Amino acid sequence: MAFISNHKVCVFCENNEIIIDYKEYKYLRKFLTETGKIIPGHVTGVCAKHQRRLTNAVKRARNIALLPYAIDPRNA
Amino acid sequence: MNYYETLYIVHSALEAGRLKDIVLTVEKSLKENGGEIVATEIWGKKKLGYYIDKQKYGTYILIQFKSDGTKNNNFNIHMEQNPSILAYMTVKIENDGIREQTEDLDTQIAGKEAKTSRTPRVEEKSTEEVVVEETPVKESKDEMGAEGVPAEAEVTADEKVEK
Repeated sequence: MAFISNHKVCVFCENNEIIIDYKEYKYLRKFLTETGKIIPGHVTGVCAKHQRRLTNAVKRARNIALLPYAIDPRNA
Repeated sequence: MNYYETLYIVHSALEAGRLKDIVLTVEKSLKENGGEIVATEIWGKKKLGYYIDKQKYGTYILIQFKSDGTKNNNFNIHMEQNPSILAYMTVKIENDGIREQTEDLDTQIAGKEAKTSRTPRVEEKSTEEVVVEETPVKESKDEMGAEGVPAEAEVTADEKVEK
């Protein structure tokens, strides 16, 4: 789930070693809701620059079926 | 010249021999279309995010290549026409995203096969454990010592395996 806290700092700005890539689909799951939607940056604390890259990576992963487009929480 | 990578999903029911054939045909068509292969990586059988052609599982294969990009469209048409490829995606990558190929195709396929063949072995072990659990119940009727019984039962199980 999301990194919800009062002190919001972009995870990717803090740690430069984290690469945003569609092949790292297991890490991208952290930024999705339980129904498979992308969590907005103001909730997770991710800055605008990295949120753009994150959404692109998630959409690529969805295209090649690494991530689902939608998850039914009743079946999950 | 730019670097590209194609991630494609092969039907999971294909055997190791057929899988290698498909990988080789893809590489051949890539070379015909002016691509220079940098690395091929077999990820193995994975659960798909959603059903594709009524399939729940697929074998993921990543191929990275160097090309000027003019004939990538022809390569994509070849991938589209191959019936055993469920889905594919070609993406442009930067120089730092290039992976080094450490293992050959045969060793990669053999490694993935070994991982998948582990599951029946676990089932066999679980059946042995069931036998071990059954034996103390029979002996516990005669004797009240619960601690010594499983050790004897393990010995009997080992003897059975040796026989």
